[in-house]
Formats: sequence, structure tokens, C-alpha cells
Amino acid sequence: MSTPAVSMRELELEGAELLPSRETLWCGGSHNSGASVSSVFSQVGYGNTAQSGLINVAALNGSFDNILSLGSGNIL
Amino acid sequence: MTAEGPPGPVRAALSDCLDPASPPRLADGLELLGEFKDSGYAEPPSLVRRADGQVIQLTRLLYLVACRIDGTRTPDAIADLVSADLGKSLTADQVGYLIAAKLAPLGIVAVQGTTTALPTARPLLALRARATLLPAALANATATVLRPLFHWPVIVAVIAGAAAMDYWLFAVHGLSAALGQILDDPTDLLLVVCLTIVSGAFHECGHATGCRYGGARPGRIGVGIYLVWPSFFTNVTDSYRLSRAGRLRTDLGGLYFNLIFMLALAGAYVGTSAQLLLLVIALTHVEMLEQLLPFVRFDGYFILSDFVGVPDLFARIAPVVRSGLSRGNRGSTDPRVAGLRRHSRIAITVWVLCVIPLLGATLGYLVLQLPEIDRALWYSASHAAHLMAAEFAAHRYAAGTAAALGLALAALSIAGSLYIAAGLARRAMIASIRWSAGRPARRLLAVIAAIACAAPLAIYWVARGQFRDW
Repeated sequence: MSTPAVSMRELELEGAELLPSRETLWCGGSHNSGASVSSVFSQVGYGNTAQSGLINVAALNGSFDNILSLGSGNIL
Repeated sequence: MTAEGPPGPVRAALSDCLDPASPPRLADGLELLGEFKDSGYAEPPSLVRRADGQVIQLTRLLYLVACRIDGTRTPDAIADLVSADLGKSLTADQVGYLIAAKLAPLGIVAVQGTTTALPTARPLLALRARATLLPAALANATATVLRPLFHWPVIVAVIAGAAAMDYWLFAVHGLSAALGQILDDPTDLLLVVCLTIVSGAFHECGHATGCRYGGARPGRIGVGIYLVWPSFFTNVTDSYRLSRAGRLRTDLGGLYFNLIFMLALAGAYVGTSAQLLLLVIALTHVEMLEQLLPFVRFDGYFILSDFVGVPDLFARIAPVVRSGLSRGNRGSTDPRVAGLRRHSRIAITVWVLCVIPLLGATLGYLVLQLPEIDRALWYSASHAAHLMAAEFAAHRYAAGTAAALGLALAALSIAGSLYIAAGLARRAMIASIRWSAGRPARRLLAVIAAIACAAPLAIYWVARGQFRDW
């Protein structure tokens, strides 16, 4: 019995994929921006701080002073 | 990313490969890693690693051909051996085609006289601006020393100890005293920040040790910028060669080391009664939970990836969407989806259905509110700068340092938000240029679409007053 041949179509479907390097990450404090560090002591906050999903950049509603105020603002 | 060779180099390589006077040989430093174990593919792929560290996943036939290349065998001899391995007949011309069109362009097979840069993976949402803290040799030495921590009796003791500690902390003692103390003295807060940083570094040692315990070699440990956040990282690329259990050990090694770190802090608390140590323990819990998120490249992402047996989930987003859109057209399913086992395909599809709206909403919000966000961050940075100056002038160095930290992170957030927005614009522009290359009607459509997106966005920003009060 003869061995089946590999077709050109099969060869074209053969593929390779470049894999990204595996880099485990530790973004400690990404949920709690260091910008809040000084605010705990300055006590200037009285507004809301918005957290944009996974990208934690703060935006404020109202006075700009409260951007540091994780201590007294609301994390949305 | 699929590998396709350009016709010119392929022809050159093909004639090179079929020249009996110069049999094909593998590229210098290439390592054949073997099958990707416990894979989510119906036909498990295999892996090779180039000298530059780039790992490449190959289909079985390509890997068999690569395995039979030794620098002395001609394509005829390789074809005979691979035919025997495969149980199917392969000709020398077909071997030449595979080498020239598939293997050579990726730098797996050496091609004389070529100077073109080899392709490398360009993953979505990857770490940027890396700097080394521990070179690979030192990371390996550290991991070797810490390896006994992965012995089963130690693991059981650590988990039992952490459970007891959590019960006492959250159900018996509480955190109110710790929170009260932290608000009284900025030095304490700086200590919390420092311990959190040490905890992060130790977390990464956990990944390196897990990788080493399984028999793979961890790479360097360092710091970089992930999206907008400063981040520790460990290169555990060599863990691709491990079994699923070994890869999961590597993934979970960081969280396991967090438990050990918390137990050490609890021990220090017993000796010192310093309440802020308890606060660090509580914060570490929050960070551990955050690490389990599977939607960005945190530990949860790698855990999910290893459970389903597919190495790069982000690279599956486009194929899954494309296959979903072309559903019903027989044979149109992307091979990167069609080749998956059923349970892996379902898991990845669910993940894609979650990640697209999540990242879309996050990035959409960022773009819509960009001027307002950066204005707020600018005020934040400027406030922190004034505060820092005042605190240092008053010789309150701890509070001044805390303000400096706030200033640095606000500035980093501004840079990060602009970087992400610019990156999105750049990617969109490159995609539209490629899509419309050589087709004027498409190019016109792309320009109209760009204006149709940019104009309403600018109007929205102005109407919302996002450029006022800078």
C-alpha cells in the first residue's frame, strides 16, 4: 500500500506564530495611585475621583484641588 | 501573527535550500524546545527559540522538518526522514518550499547573505521602557536559593498560616487602629509604600522561583511601564517549555510569595505591635486580587492562558472576531480558531466577548475625557509640587517625599494617557494606510472616516469645556 502524499494545499496551511515573551507583572498600587499619597496629609479633597476602568487616571468633578483626595473623595 | 515570506527572499532561499552543495542548517543558537505541553489545540504545536530569545510556535510538520535539519542532510534526506515520522510522503521540493517560505523568513533556518531584520512579536498591551534590576544569572541564583519554598509541606504550612492570619486580621482584630495610625504620621505612610514595593519585588522572585522549580530558567527581573503604571516584571519565557502544571506554578508563584511575605509581616507584628504592618497585609490582599484580573497581562491572564492551553490570548481577539463575523461561510474560520479544541475555543470566545467591551469602554472613556483628565492631573501635579516645596522648606522631609511621590506619579499618568492616546491614533492610521494602499477610493473613505471621528470628538471636547481653566 502506498503512503499518502502531502498536498501543496496542506503545505500552505502550515504556519508559525511569533509568541510574545512571558513577562509576569506586578503593578502594585495601580488601584491606588501614588498621587494620593500626599493628599492624605494635605486634606484638600472634597470631590469625586473617577477611575477609568483598568487605566487608573483620575478625573475630577468640581474643584481641581480634589484630584489628590482619595482619602475624602469617592472612587467611582 | 502568522508567518509569510516575501516572494523575493523565498525564491533566493529556495534555490539556496535545493543546492546539494550547501545543505540547509538551523540558525546559530536556535533551540528546539519540543511540543507545547497540555495545549488547547487539537494538534499540539511545537516550539523553537531563536538566539535572540524569540519563541516561535510551529505546526507539527514544520517542526519535524526543523528537527531533521542538521547542516549535512540534503532536502532529499530530510524528506525521507520526515515522511517516515509523518506517515505521509513528502518530496524534496516540498521540504525546500517549507524551509524557504516558512522557516527561513523567521530566522529558524540560516540563509547566507541575508541582512534583513528578523520578525519579532509585537504584542498588544505589552510592557514598555524596561530596565533590569536582577540580570538573568542573578535571578536564577536567587530562584535556586528560594526553591525549597515550593516543597509541598512548605506550601501547605504557608497556606494554613495565611488562612489563620486572615481570620485573625479581618474577623478578630480589624484594621481601624492601623488606619488611624497611618493618618497621623506621614513617615508611616512612606513605610507602607516601601513595604509595598518590597512586596512587589518579592512577588516577582516568586515567579522566578516557580519557573526554576519546574526546570526552566527564568530571565531577568526588572522594572518597566505597563500602560501608565510603573511595574516590576520577570521574564519567564522559558516556562513555555514546561507542562501546564509547571506553567501554572510559575504563574501562581508570585501570589504564593505574597502569602509568605504577609506571614513575615505578621511575624514582625507579633514582635513589634506596629499596626501599619497590618495595613500592608491588607493592601497586599487587594493587590493580589487585582493580579487575578485576566483582562490585562497580570497573573490572572497567564493563569487563564495556561488553563486553556493557548499561549497568547490577545493574539486570538482578531481571529475570534473574524471567525464570528464569517460564521456560516464554510471553511472561512481562521485556522488559529479552527485548530483549537472545543473547550479552549469556548473559553477564549467568552474571554474575547468580555475583553473587547471592557477595553473598548476603558479606552473610549480615556479618549472622550482626555483633556479633562490631563487637566486634572496637571492640577494634581502642580499641587503636589507646591506641597513638596512647602514641606521641604519646613523641614518636614517625610511629607515632602510623599508629595514628591505624588508629583512623579501624576506626571507619569499624564505621560501615560498621552502615550496611549497617541498609540491608538498611530495604530488606526497605520491600519487605514495599509487597508487603502494602492486603492484611491479606499484612501478617500479612510480620510472621510478619520475626519468623521476627529471632528465630533473635538466638538465634544470644546462643548464640554475640557480646554478651559488650564
